[in-house]
Amino acid sequence: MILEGLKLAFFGISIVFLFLIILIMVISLSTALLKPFVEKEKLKKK
Amino acid sequence: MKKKLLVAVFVAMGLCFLAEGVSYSETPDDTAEPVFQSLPSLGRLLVNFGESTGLFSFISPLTDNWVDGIGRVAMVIIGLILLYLAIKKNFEPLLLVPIGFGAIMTNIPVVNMSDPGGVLYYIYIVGIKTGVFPLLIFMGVGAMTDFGPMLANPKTAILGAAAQVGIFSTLIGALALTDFVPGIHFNLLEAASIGIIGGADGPTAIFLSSQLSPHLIGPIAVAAYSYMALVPIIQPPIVRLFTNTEERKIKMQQLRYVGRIEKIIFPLSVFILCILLLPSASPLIGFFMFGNLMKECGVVNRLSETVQNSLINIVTILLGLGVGAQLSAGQFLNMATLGILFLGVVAFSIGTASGVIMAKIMNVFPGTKINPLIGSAGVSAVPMAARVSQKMGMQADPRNMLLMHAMGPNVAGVIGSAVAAGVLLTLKGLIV
Repeated sequence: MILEGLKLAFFGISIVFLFLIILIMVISLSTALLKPFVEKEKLKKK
Repeated sequence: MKKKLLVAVFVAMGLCFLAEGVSYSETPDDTAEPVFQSLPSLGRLLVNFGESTGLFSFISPLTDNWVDGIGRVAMVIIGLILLYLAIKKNFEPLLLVPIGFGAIMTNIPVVNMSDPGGVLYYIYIVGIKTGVFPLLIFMGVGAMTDFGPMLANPKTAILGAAAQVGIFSTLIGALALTDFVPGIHFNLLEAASIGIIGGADGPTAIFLSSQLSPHLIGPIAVAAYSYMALVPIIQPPIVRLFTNTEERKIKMQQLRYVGRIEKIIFPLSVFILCILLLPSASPLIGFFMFGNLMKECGVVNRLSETVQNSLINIVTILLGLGVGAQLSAGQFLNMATLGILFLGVVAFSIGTASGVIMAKIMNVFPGTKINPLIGSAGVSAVPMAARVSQKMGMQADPRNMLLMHAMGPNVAGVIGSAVAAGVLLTLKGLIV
């Protein structure tokens, strides 16, 4: 039973890391793509 | 004189009733329609009333099982303790007041409010067993969450992932208890439900256990919310154990400005990612991101305010009562509950330690330094865990403001625990 648990734990934590690493990549990509819009918004606010 | 006469008349009438009973008509036979139902004698009525009192049922339960008698009393006391912790100690009062009161109500003898036909039964069936209430709460939490700090420093999301190690190591712990402790038997689904306590996320814990092992929902919810309230007590010693003063003094760079469009696109991108990679987590992530989108898009302020206030308040009351309904003596007073309470604190501790250790590992690589204190905020418990990081940071250096930096891993932890729950939900269809 513990062996099954270890298998699940390894699989599960890998998926969590994978998901959040991809999310970080998506955030970085969207930040780069949206930079001109954000800069405009920042200037407007000033 | 008149008074004495009146008393004598009443005593005489009472004696007549005691002797003969109130029988105004003949007892009807089985086939005929009853004309007038008779009552037993006043003495019998008194005995019946005595037997129908809660006190009698507590002392002399219908069954020989001790949980129906003294067990119910113990559960009422546990309900009162939860109320005390909520009211006097301010431990998660929004949840512990309804849970504590629900626990008392479900253990009232005679009426059995959480059995089919009782009001608590329907609250549980409609809102919790279906998973509706935790999802609505998650929508409200989403509408109250600001992902700005995470978007400004996305790499802190890794800390939110690391803290989920607590979930999976507790899962292994639950299976180990089954193997080594007599009286405790957790299968893989039950172990997964217990492990999610480590996510320090109440709605996720309730949602997952309602899907995988509904009979454990009471102890799991109580453990999750109690330990979440105890985050300021559980976390500091663990964080101190893994960090030195110099590390706690690390100052982090000012967070950049995050645009409105970034905040609008973020919930949509997370949801799309979830649909593509892990659809099993989409109920949790979907409702969470829907709530957040309502907040950030700025065109449905009325809906966003309703979700953040009225709706979440109503659902919180019902969710608390529904969870309290699962705290019946028969379900709660056993070795499994003790095991769950023990594993819960282990889960929180491992999650906290994993976040801190991951921050230290990240500092080994070149780039801007991360204060390891924010690693402990990866265990969801928004915003309590982030506040602990801030407080500990200020103890090391009073000018060190870590709150906004800690909010990054804190909200990433919510996503991380929802993803972990999604992975564990897939077990339902995988177990052969």
